[in-house]
Amino acid sequence: MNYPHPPIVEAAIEFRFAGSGNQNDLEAATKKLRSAYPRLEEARPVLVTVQMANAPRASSLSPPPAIRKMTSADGADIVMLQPDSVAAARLAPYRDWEDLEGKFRKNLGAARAIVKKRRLARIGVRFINRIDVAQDELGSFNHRDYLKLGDNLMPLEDAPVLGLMFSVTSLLDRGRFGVIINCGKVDSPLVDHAGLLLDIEVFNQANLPVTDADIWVQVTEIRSWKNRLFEASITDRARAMFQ
Amino acid sequence: MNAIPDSNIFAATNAVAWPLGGGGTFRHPQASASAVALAFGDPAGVQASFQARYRGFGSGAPSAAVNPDWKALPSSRADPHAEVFDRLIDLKVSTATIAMHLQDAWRTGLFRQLDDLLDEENWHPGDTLPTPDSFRTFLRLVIMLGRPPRPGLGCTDSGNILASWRRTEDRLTIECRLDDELRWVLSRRLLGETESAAGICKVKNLRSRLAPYEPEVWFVAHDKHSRP
Repeated sequence: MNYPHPPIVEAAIEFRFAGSGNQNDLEAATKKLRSAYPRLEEARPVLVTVQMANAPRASSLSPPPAIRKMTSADGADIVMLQPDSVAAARLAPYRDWEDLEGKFRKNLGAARAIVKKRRLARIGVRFINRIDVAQDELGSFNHRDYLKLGDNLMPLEDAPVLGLMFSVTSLLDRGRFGVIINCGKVDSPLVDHAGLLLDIEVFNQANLPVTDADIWVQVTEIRSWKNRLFEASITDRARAMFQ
Repeated sequence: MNAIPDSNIFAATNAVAWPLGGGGTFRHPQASASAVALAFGDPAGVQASFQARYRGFGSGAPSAAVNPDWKALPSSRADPHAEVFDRLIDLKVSTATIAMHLQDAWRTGLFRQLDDLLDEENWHPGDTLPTPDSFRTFLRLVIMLGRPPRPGLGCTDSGNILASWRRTEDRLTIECRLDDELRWVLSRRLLGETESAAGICKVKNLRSRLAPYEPEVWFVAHDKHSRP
């Protein structure tokens, strides 16, 4: 369902590829994308390993590759690059799927130094939503008015929930896809409101399609699952807030 | 079969990116803290980590300006104004935290004002640029006010955003400080006399502080395009 005011704070599509590229590939892709995404930042993850005295020596691990984040001039579109992955993200205001997928396809073309002819290793679609909910004078609200969560099954009193964090990792469609759902109460940028974060990622990292056409069919299928999960997770009251 | 869930797509905003799938590799630079909390069954720690990670985004600037995980690389425009240009984009990214509550025209107008405020010709090396923290307070103010006409924008020497409204002789200027603090100054013509007042308060208390001065004169939109 397309909402006039979707609560999406970030929508992303990502392809990961088998066999990592190198720094040169990253530089080449960065250069191609720089005019459309002029703000460039980099994060270097740190790998920490602990070797127990009596344990057999683990094989040496290479440090995780740098992650590049490139932002458009209006601050709403972002490209994430790693030597083995390309992602497009759209912050609020979210336009529509066609806009996001179109930009992602364009980014893939520009980042062909990373894509090359590599085999796909993972397709992921992730949507992070934040529903801003008014709190009463005591700072509480009932999250069940907005989200359908497993805690309905628990023997809790019908009292305000002060903290909330909920996570599900599972499979969809008889194992064809994986899903990670994170949900929790977070700060809202609105005064006297709380944020309900609903973060849904659907992915495939097994038996990936090979041809271009099949890949995009599967991306659409993954998106469709993501939508079904979102609709199943929210109440009509929440739905009315996005109209 | 997708038997082993992998890590999330790396969130551009750092909103949340837990490596929740067992066996997944940690791709997020901040992942270890929450992972440790999870492993040791520390729900309070996990909740705090969740909040802290989200605050990184909620502060409206996930960029190098406030997030030490990210390091700005040299701008494509190798000139002394690169920092100004980067800050301009950072503030626009911050606006994304509330963009779902704004009308497109209001957001576009705000971006035009930011373009003017951060016009490179007006800034010199060493000047204090508008800070993301002050801009966050400004955004919260705008949403709290409901539907104010877009204010004029300025900046103090210390990088605080100044928002000003003027309606004939009636003027209101608000300095947006760190952590929701506002310093306001007004001049208002009421019952044939001009009154001046000033004060400091939190965003949530502004309406009550200004109530004696009938602030609707500034906050009621006079044309449809000025509403957020």
